[in-house]
Amino acid sequence: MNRLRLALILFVNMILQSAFFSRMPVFGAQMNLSIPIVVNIGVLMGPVPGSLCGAIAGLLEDIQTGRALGVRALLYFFIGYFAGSMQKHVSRDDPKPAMAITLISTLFFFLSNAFISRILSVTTGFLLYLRGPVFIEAVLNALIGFLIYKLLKRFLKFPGLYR
Amino acid sequence: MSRIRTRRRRRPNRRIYFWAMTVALLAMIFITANQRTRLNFAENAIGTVLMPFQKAVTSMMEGASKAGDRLFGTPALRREFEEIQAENEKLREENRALQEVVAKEPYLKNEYRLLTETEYELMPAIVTGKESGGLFVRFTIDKGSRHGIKEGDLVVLGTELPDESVVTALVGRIVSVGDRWSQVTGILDETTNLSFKDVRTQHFGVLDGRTGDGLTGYFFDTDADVLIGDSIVTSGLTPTYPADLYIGEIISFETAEHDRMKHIVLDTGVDFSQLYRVMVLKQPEERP
Repeated sequence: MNRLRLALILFVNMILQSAFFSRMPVFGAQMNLSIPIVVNIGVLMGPVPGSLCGAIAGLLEDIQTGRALGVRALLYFFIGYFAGSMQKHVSRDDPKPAMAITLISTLFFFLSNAFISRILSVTTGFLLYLRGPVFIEAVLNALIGFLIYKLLKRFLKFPGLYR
Repeated sequence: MSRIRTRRRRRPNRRIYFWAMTVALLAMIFITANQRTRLNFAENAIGTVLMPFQKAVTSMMEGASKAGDRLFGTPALRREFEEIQAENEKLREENRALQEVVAKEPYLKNEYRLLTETEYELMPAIVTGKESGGLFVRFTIDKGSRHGIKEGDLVVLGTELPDESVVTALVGRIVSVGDRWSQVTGILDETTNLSFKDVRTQHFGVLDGRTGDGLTGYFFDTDADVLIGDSIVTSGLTPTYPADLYIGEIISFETAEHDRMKHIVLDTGVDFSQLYRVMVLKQPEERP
């Protein structure tokens, strides 16, 4: 049942991310809904579900607007795996660790994406975004990560987790 | 007990899973790093499934953001509005061509003829999604091969200039095509090197960078006569873009000390932070 729900979450994420959140600038930055979703799934469910969901979410984005398939899939995969690996060290009943991981993951995603794009010679506006919006985006992602944490806890089933 | 046994069994598998996925995804990146043009079945199917939902969200967004300042009439009224807009664009193109005749009459006679005789086939499209980031550098539209779209077709937009005239402004070009959707890379993409010409002086140059939502470039001729406010259009020197599509207006320039080249900054005139509707300018099958 969780699998079906996760698939639905990724599907809705893709639609909202590409058609809604990417059009909603806040101080020049856009939220990236995929990062908090992948991080929260990782923290709540472990490294394998987290990284798999990350890979699928990234692949969907790559298919839609990516220059090469796999760039975002790889980065979200790492993020999901990293967040899942943190599961042992943080409390699943507290949203704050997931928010902190989301913040770090956003910066990691941006820098790694820029690095891979540079290797593939497809850089776009890296320095411009580094000057400010990326930090705003990291904070926005972390804040929306709190809501996503609450929603995921209601929407998915986690044996042994306090609701 | 069984849980402990399961954990012990899974640990090495997890490591293998991690490295296998990493290698698979890296391989995917390097295999698809070259330009993807025709989308495969899976990509196409995913895009086709997502498209109606994205279109619905986009329409809601557009409705909300433009409710105050955009005309929403009956279908007949909208049709009339679009017809007038198209006619206005055509007249503006003629005006631009005439301006060129004044600047360089003998050379541009042929070009003017070509411009007026060329019938651009324009197809309206809805921008359904975009990649993360502030501007519409890479985005998708709701038209694909079923609508006759093919790779290399241009994406344009009617843009109003400060003098209230409307021109056909270049937005980008189609880079890959699905059945019912296509990917567009905008002119803000730093990898898009765009050759241009100054409408007033007919000097050529190339745009090779980006600053915010503007473009940067330089003139080939070190003696190029440049003025702030000059209109810049596509040069037609490369087969990718036909000549005389509006790119933008020079907002600043400077002469570099080391090479004496005139470097310019352009305001594109297209709001790349909010794109809802665009038009696909279908390229002719064979270019002369």
